[in-house]
Amino acid sequence: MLWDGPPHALVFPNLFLGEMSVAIIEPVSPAEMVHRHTAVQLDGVDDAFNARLRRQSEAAMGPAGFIVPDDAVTAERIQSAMPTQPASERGWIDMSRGVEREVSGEAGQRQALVSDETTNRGFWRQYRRVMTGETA
Amino acid sequence: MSAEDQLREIEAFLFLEARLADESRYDEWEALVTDDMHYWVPAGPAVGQPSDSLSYVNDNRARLATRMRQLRTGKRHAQTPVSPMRRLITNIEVLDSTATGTTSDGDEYRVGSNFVLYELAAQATHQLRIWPGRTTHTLRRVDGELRMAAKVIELVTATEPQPNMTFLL
Repeated sequence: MLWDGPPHALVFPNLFLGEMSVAIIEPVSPAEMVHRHTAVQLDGVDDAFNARLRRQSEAAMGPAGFIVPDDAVTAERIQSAMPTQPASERGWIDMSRGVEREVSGEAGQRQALVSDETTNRGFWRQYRRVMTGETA
Repeated sequence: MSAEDQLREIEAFLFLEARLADESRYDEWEALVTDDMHYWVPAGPAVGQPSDSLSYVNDNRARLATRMRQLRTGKRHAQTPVSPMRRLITNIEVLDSTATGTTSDGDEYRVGSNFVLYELAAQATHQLRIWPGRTTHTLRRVDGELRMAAKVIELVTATEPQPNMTFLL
């Protein structure tokens, strides 16, 4: 969950709430996923407001938009390094940024700076828990 | 202007517009559009009001200007480098026209055509992507020259998940 700045949250495993857009990530294969998104629409407001949310979601999230396509190319570049290497030479993706300044909050949450990879680590920690039953 | 000459003029415009888009020549492409240009790529058939749903592209002139400004920065990962592209345009038909035999400013032509665009996704995967679809142009005569007042693109694959579409369709 991102609190500092416009709110973003990932609800494990594949629901993403980004400002006023809702996205679902659907894994297809180890090398492919589909990212579906739509705009939040509010009851009881002027349609001009909802139309603005639709336009913002369109501009940010779609395949011709200004945010997700750049992310998608970055993900493709990372992915291209993965399956083509033998497992022994694949190395690691380092997600340690900010690990030294992570602190535990009152509700058991981990907190760090907005640019740290606390959320990424949280995702994979939960993934391991679900897939193996390990809690470490 | 004879109907034959008019069709030739329209074809020449479509071919120029296509070539500038293929070569990501943003300034020259943008010079072809009118001040009220609407650029629309719906996520399904082009029916109803674009503002009522979510489209892949739904640019008024101001939003199109933002898109072009972004592309020109050369800092968009999604088009760094730009995709090499070539498109074929066929089945050109003048669907509708307000022209009355003489050519005058304000004349409009609604023109339908089919296309197949070949795009090399050179930014990461190096896949050759094939984009088939239909375009409906609204062309308007401004200062004696044809300009593009609307470009509506209905992709054959519109209802399917899409890879990056950050180039000029």
